[in-house]
Amino acid sequence: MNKLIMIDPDKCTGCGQCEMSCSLEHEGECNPTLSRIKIAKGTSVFISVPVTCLQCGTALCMEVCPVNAISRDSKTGAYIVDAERCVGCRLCEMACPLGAIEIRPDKHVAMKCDLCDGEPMCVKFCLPGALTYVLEEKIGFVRRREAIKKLSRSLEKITLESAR
Amino acid sequence: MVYGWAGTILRIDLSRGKVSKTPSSEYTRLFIGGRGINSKLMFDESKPGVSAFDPENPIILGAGALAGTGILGMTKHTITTRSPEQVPEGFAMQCSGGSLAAEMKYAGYDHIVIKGRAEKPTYIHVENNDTAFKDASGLWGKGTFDTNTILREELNDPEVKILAIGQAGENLVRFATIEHEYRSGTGLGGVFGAKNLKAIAVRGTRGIKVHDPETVLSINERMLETHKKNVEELVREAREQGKPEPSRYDKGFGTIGAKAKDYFFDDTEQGVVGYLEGFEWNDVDKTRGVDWLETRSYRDTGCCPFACAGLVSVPGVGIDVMRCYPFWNLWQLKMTDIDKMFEATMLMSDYGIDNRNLSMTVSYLMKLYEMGIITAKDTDGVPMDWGSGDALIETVHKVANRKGFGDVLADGPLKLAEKLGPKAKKLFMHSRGQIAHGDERRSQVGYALAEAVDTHRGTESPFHGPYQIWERYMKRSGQEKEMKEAYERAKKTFGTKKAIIPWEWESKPIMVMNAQHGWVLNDILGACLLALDHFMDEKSVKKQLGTLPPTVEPLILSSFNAITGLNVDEKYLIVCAERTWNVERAYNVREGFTRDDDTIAEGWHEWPITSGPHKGRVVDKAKLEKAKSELYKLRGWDTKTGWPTKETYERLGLNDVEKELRRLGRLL
Repeated sequence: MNKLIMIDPDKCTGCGQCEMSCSLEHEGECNPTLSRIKIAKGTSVFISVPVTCLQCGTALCMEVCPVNAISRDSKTGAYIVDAERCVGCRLCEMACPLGAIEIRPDKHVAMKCDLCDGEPMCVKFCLPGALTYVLEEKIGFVRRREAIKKLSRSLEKITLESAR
Repeated sequence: MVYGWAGTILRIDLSRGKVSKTPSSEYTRLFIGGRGINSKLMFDESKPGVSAFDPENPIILGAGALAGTGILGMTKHTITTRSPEQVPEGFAMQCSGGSLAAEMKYAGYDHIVIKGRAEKPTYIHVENNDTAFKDASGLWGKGTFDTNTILREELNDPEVKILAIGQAGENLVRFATIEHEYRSGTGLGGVFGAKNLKAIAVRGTRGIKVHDPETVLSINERMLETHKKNVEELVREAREQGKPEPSRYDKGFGTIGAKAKDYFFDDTEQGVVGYLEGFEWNDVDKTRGVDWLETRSYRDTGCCPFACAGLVSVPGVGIDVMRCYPFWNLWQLKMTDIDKMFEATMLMSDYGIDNRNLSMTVSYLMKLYEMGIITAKDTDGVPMDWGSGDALIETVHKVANRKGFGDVLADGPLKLAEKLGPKAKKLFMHSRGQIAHGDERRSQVGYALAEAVDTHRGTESPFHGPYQIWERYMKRSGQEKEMKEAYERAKKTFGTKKAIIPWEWESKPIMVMNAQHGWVLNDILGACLLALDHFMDEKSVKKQLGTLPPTVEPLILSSFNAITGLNVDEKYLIVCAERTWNVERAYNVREGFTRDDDTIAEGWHEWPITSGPHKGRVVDKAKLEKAKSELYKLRGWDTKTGWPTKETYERLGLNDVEKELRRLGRLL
């Protein structure tokens, strides 16, 4: 069973540390443009949602690639781009429903999240907890638990009060 | 290969609509970046006697040297210019967090120097290599919120980072601000307004080369571990003291200022209520922001993962960041309605007004009203009752739009005090025209000294509060063992335990000098003090109590070296900070400032604290003068004039500054 990066947009503060950490890890420089995770912003500065590859069940990027440059890593389950094979045709970019794979402007090859070989840097440095690295099958469970947290807190309060 | 820096200074001439570029490497060795290079550029680019609103007065943006390099908490940019709010005008800077610093560097610029005056309302759009001057006629008259939204839509780029002024800056209000995301500061907005400059929008898509990215990531990891430990410690302490489990707001999330009541009233007992009166106030518990956030907090935001800027949602008012200072303002205005204070704060952010300055002025008016020195007639029918949020809000509208008494106040609170008559004038507490704000000086003489000798006015003066000891608090919270240890360390370091007692003068000059260097260095590197507090283990208050504050955090030093690939030592960084401080001083010396201008508001000397554990304390004038002399000697400044000496300039390699001052006869 693989782990995936789970995104909780409500917790994202828009600080950009995920982008910085990603580019430092992959490119050795601090450059959000070359980050594999990107924070999408609204016109209000306060709305921010991190977007990265969610490692789809049916990976359209892989399906459409004419040169078979995208394959699945057996260890992490991440779809990986072989930069040697990639011709920069942009079909993957067009196919991806999220915009999570793109042709990097400097080298004209596709880049995307590779889950840092099982230790994603973006998750590591996301102090607010908008990004977590969770077992695929647990995602629903974790989301539900988050959702009822507030409810259970209120219920607890009511129970305690009535007990008194 | 240059690591860490973007490499270029962008120079913009609004009068001629021209831009030019020069390498930043000419300045980096001596001043590193951020506030350091800004201050030297300010000295070099301005002529003495040119007023703040003159087109020739430069306004300089500088990115912190470590901003945009991935190190946690390096988010600050500095804005340097001549202050329109000081009387007489002098050096001014503001250092704020946000995403501008990194974005400037991604666009390729360490600093941006703006001069001249545009013919009509203009905004500047900087995108990588390109700089465009764009028509801002449609934006003129709009608040900063709308300006931000419209610019993002117009440029079709939600990622653009914006500095903007509101109506107050356009109307040349002397304490208008330049607003950016979560924070603004000193009143520099009028300088933009005088240049017909509504905003600057920056976007960069290039990266910053880092020499040793692996070390950078491992340093970050250590910082996060420290943060985790600090939070655990907080929880453990609360348990030991039998307090309820700390909420996330107690841990500093949401808005850090929300903890102000606990810190200033319960722990250190240095809060001030009303117009710098006493400590005791029955309603103080109602100003506990931590409780208020429980129902009002909407979402965390901020420029580093620590997310200190809490978005707050108040029904019927709106959603915005709750800043820190409004929590101080509550006590100053004796207000308990935090929702109302939020409304006023939001309004001030939109108009672009310094809320610290204006709220304190309203507190002053309320005092005058209470004493019968003014009536509602003097304030256009607005009754200045203590606790009235409406009085504050009315004043904000009037100042920003220059209506009625607001028109006079817009030219500075000193002008209004003068107009209200000699009785009112006598009660107006200010230093260099800026109203004293409500950080207690009388029980903390270190802060008094720090403010007196500061190179600028308007923001907090650097002094390390935490390195002092609050005996009553330590006893109350069962930390007597730590207290004894701290006193022992103080005896060893300073020769007397009084060094760490806030109201004693012993050793304060050396502590203030160290703090100044530490703060300036943070501003140079772009390091957020707050983030440092949370991420640095060496900052642990208990460990440091009774010693000299470390001016360079070991982790900051290793970050600097890992990023730049240089191999500098602590001394190099400190000397750069000292050099910066001296250039700022030299700017003011060139303007004619002397020792006599190093003052604090008279009231701190004359009015004793009226209640609380520090009742009766004042700042002793003679002792302040003595401490000033001691500090000048430590710095290598002449004790009579307060000017840095020839030897000091030479020691710091500031020969060009020395030459200029000699030419003007301002060198001994």
